[in-house]
Amino acid sequence: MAEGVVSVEKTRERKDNLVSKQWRWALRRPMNLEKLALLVQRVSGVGLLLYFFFHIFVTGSITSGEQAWSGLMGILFNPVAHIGELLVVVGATFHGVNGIRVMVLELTSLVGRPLRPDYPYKTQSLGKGQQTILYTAVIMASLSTIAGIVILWGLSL
Amino acid sequence: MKESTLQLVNYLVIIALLVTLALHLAMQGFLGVSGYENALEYNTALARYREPLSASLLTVLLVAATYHGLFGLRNILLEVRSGPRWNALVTGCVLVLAIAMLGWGFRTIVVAFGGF
Amino acid sequence: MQIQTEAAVPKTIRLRVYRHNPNLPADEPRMVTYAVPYKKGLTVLDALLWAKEHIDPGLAFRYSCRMGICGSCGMLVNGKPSLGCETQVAELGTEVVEVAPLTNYPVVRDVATDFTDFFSHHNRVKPYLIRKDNGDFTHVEKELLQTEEQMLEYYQFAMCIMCGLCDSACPIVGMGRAYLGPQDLAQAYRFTADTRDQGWSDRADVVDSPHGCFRCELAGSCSAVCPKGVDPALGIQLLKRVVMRRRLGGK
Repeated sequence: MAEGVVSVEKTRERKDNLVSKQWRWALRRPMNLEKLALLVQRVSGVGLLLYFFFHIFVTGSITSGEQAWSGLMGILFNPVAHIGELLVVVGATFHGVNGIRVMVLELTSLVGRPLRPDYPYKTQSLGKGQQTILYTAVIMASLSTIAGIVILWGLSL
Repeated sequence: MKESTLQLVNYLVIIALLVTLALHLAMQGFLGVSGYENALEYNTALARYREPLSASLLTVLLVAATYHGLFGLRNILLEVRSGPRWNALVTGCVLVLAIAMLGWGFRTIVVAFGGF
Repeated sequence: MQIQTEAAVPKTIRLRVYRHNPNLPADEPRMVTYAVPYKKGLTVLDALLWAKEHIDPGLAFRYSCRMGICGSCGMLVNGKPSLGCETQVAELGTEVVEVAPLTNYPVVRDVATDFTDFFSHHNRVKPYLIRKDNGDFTHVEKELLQTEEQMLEYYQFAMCIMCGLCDSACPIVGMGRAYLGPQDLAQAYRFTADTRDQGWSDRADVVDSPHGCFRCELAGSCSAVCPKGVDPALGIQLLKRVVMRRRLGGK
């Protein structure tokens, strides 16, 4: 090795499939809050769509009579399924409130207005206003966790 | 159809979805029922389809959730590749899913509402 | 911004650089660590130049103005897309400074990346003033007037130096190069918002497409890394509003 060279190491092989790419962008720098919000929005969105797909077919059994319906509900009324349903409620709450934040940023001037870019630059689109809505989404998701636990497990407050 | 048109429809659908989903979750939890277990009982569930107002709510929820969910899925899939063939493939798959979901959902609502 | 005191920064820094020449079949990607002497005000670009001058002349990277205006020295510094000339080693706060080529671009050699796709996307949004009476040889009678308020509507987006950091940080670009990218869309807005421009019909179909402005999902990483305060995320949301307003028949 030449003088001044401390070490030479091989780089890792990078997988290039759909899932690895999504992970990579999520975990790369810059690690800003809004990008994490997008990650959770996507995960919750896909999760909700999958749930909804099966929900349509499960609830379709209402037309097959009481026995079919009750049989199915009997299978699905258990703690594991409740945890799944809880995740659906929490996911829907975060997805909804964060989605409202996205809509507001796309449609109103909360995202900012063009300014003279004088140093130090003010990045308006990553401002405190929209971060507040994001924190609200997290708080509401936490509240819906509590509400979900109370309702799903039939607890009395 | 232009992307902006799809997006504008999505905004309207989002408003409808927020309202109907909130009501649906409330109705499954505490609104008009004495708990979640009660909401899942056959007669309570069937009543949801038989009452015109709640059947309409379910219809709007079905359409809104299907559009919004599949629009989101389409957007994620479109990122993967470019080109008219990929766009056509994604649109095709999404439309097939939409027909399946809306078809089965409508069938349930119409049959349950009409009596069987 | 954490600036370490003189006592805290070591006398020699470890500069860990991605090395790879894709044109040589036997050349494998590797991280080579160089020992570079620290002196006050050392930037990452200075460190690379020192390593190139004193240790390894084969080290390849782009640079030009070394003052944050040409946009040539975009690179990943400790994983974050940055301009090498504007990143002070003392500010990084790490013993090892890791330099790698920008993600989402093909590597030409070592830290230099291929911007062909980037420029061709930029061209697609027609980044120049379009006038109805325009032609290369149209005789211009007088200058096109604009008030200061009208200029400020697009001025910050005109500050773009095309360094490519935003496209490197963007997660949607990270999924595939189909998406136009924050740089192009912010420039499309720059010209759309310019009162002198009459070329909306030329740009509308490009930005209002399946891979246009509506694929932006507000990750905000582009604005987080922009070194010139352009705030491309703001530009894209404003562009979305213009597109939808005009779709509904407004101005």
